[in-house]
Amino acid sequence: MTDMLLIGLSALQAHQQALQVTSHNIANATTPGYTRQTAKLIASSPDAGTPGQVGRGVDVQAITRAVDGLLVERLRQAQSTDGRLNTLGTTLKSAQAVFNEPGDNGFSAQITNLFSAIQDLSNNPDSTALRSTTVAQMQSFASSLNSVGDQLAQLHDDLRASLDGDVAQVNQLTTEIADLNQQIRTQTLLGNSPNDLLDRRDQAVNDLSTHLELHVRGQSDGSVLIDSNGSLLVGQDTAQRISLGRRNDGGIVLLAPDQTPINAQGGSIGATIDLHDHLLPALQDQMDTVASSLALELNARNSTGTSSGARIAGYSADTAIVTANRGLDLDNPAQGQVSGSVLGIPAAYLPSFTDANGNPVARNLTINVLDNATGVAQKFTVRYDPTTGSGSRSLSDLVTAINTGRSLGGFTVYPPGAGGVGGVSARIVSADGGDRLTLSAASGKSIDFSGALDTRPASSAWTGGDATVTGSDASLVYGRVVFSVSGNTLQASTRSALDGSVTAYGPQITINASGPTVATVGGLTVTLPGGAAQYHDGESFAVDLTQAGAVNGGTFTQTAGWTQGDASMTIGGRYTGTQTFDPSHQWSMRVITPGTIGSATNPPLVEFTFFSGSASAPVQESVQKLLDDKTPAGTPVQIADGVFATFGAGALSAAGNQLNFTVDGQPDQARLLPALGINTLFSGATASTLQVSDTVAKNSNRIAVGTTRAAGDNSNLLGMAAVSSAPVFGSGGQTVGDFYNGAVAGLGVQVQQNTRLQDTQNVLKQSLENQRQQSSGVSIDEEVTYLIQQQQAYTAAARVISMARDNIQTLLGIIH
Amino acid sequence: MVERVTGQGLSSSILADNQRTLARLATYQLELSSTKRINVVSDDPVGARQAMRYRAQTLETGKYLDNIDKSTAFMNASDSAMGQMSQVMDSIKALAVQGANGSQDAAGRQSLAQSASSLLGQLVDLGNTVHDGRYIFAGTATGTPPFALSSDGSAVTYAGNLDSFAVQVGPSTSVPVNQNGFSLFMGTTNVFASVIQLRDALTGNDPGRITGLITDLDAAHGQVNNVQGALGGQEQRLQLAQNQLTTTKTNLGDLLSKTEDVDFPAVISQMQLAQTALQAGLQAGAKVMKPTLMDYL
Repeated sequence: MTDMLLIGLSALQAHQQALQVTSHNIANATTPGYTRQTAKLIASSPDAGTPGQVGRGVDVQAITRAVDGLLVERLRQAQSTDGRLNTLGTTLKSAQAVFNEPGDNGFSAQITNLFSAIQDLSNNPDSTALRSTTVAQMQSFASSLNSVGDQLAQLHDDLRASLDGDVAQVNQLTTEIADLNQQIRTQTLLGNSPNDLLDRRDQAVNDLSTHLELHVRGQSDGSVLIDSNGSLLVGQDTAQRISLGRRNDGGIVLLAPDQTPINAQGGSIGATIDLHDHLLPALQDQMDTVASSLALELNARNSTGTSSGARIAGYSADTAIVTANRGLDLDNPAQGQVSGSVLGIPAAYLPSFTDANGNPVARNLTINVLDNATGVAQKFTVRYDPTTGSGSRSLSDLVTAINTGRSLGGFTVYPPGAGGVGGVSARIVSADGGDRLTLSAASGKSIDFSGALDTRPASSAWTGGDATVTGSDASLVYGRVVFSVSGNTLQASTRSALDGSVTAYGPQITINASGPTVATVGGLTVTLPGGAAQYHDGESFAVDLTQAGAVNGGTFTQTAGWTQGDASMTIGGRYTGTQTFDPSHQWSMRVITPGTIGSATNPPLVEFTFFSGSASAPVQESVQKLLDDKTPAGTPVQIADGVFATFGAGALSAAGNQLNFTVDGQPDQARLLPALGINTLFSGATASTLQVSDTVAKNSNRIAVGTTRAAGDNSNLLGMAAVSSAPVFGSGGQTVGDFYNGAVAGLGVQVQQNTRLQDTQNVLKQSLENQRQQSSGVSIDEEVTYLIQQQQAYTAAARVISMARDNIQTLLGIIH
Repeated sequence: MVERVTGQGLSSSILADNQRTLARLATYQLELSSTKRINVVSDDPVGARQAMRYRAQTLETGKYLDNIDKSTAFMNASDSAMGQMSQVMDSIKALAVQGANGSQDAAGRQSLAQSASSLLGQLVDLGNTVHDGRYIFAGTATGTPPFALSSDGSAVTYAGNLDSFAVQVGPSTSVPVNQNGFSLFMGTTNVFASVIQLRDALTGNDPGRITGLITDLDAAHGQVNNVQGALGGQEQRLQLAQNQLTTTKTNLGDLLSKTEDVDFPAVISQMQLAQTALQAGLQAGAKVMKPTLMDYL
């Protein structure tokens, strides 16, 4: 009889608990991550040995969670992918917004505006007002590029800051999980099922997987071990705190507590590191290429251009090379600027002294020394020839050559008569650990590096009779001694390698009226076989000494002579050919028949020798001109390829007289000037640092509009305008527009792809979430149904007890 | 087994679906209000790249047309100066014919010489024509007068150069727009020398020499006309470039519009559809979420 009471009691208790579970479910119907629980009822087994085997009521065996482990795992992976895609999307979209494309206000419009401003000036190259406008447009271009560069850099920095937050959250979550692990373990060992703790842990693991891709392993004691790509994050009851470190290349690395790098990946942290180390730097590189290639191309043209207004007495290089590298080849990669330093040549601007196969080749640098009063220049070529000297090409070598005419390295100056570059002093100015090249012209002179002609060949080169020099001087190893005639005296001189100042070498020699003259200057002996009348005021020749200090060669014979007092010749025009200077292929004018310029009856006949064809395979040609009354003094006489000669009044008195002159289609073959930052439009080589060079910003006359010094020459500007269609950007050889558009479109593709993946991922996540809700979510209808069911069962159980009481009372009534 | 449908699952589905429809509506709204199909590059990277190129090319083409416009005035000035030179040459030729006439006497030739002298001055002045502050016949030495008559009147010298002045009319195409004074007056025939010789022959009362000079003057006149013709050729080349560029610009505008402009009818009808979908979704959601078993207990 009491069995019945007990059975009823067990039913009451079981259903009360079941009602509690159902109420708990209803209470948590909207709790994120909550898993529906079920009270698992089981019939109590009958006492052994009882015939008929009636059970002993009902028992709550367990309260279980309706959890699908596979689904939880897949949701976690989805969460991790979601974290990754969201992070990528946010930053990539911000990067995309930086460019403000496509539209009228994007950066590509700034590129077009820059070239439009150059064209505007080219339509009116002598306008001062337009020059200022052009400079302003260049500045506006530079600052928009800076703003793009700075915003990308800011995004890059922000990534680092957001990682700090990410890592802090990861550490908080792993600690929480480890804590829960401990509690769950204790409860499990006690035989309880800590469902709500399990839910909380699942939720925390889920949150953690937003930050990293996780691998979760459940243990028999209820705890979980979590690692990411093999790096342990949560152990049985401990969390591994992670921190951030920086790699040598600037990249970010995650560190374990003992500061060893760990390989955790995926999630928002993996995406941020990916963005920080690869995606954004690639984009920044592309914008730096836009900056450096554009600046290099425009600088190379500006530095070898000129303009009628510019009379520039000196240059100071924008680029300072590391002082310790002064003796190192200028094209050595070690001269490259190190990130964060202002010293060194930006890598994109390193000059080139080698051919496509990396073998050194000859390179010319033109230096024109202009007489401001006459507007006529003398053209010098600083030629690098790998087969001479030691073949080195350092800043020291360059300075020595400009000053003295040659350097132990491979530089030699042509023509040789002035020692180095006549009227120019080169110096290395050291400051703050860096060396800058400065060039300054003698008073009344100015310097440019253009292919402009307007040059007067050195008719004073060496026009007199023969001269012989022998001997040696160890102090002049690989030096150059210049002998020049003044009145009836001969003076030898050398120039300082450091600043080009001239020093007399040995005493002044008086030339014997009836010759020969033999004299000793320093370690050298000079012999002039002829009488004083053969040697003319202002003439000079140069003696180059060998590496051993001995005289190289010896006899100097008049080969390209000019009779003093003869009509002068000036070379003018704009060279349109491609020949480069080569001492063995000199352009020249030779007198065939003497006569008076512009005379109808006694005109001179001259022959011009010039070279055409390609620079590598010059073809020698010649043309003869009669300088009669149709071509009076001052009339241009066409030679070839836009070059003409103009003769002054007077006579050409001796047949065979010859003048060599220099014509060079590539004034700066090695691109030394843009590398050193001399006469350039822009300085800086990255998107963030590009700016209009100080000299141009202060003086718009420094925009080299022409390749000649004529006021209306716009040819250099046309060359700069053509940079917009020059296929020199990127490794594929694209135009600046295509390269930039490609970079922006590439970013667009990444954003688009990411957005598509996000869309797909959202659908997948939604579907997984639905599935989870289907198996683990709380359905109010269902719970209420259970509630009614359980309530009814509870009522029924109460009836059983009441029935049992009735039965007992019935029995007790019998006893009465 | 029947799928379990839970309230939370239902509401998050309804929310997500409506969110997607709303996002589509927002896109349509942006496309319609900006009138552009591509508002950020990622909307259509390939199209955006094309649009960026077309837009840059449109601007460039506009600039080339602007360059041509500016040089047209310059060329017109050259053309009109050469036209006047041609007239002066006509007058000089008339002087020569008059001077060669046997009926002229010394005094008559003397006065003709004076006329010749003044016409020579006119020629020099025309050679020094200035347009927009530039000497147009000086090559690129546009800052200084190219022609000067020597003080004794015996020769005219040229201080300009032979370089051409070009304007950019294409990405890598530039067209010269000037003719230098050297080829105009001194190329194969020295025009000034001929006129000076005529003046001197008139002064010297030398009908024979004057007759001989008529051929030279014809040649000189021919040279001026030839150079004017060459300039006409350059003008034609520019005109041709202008026509091409105008067509290109129109085409580019068309292409740009096709690439990035919104297709109004399509987008509006899609937007209507999306609006209907959103309304339906919201109404259905409201109906589905409302009833629970509780309502009926």
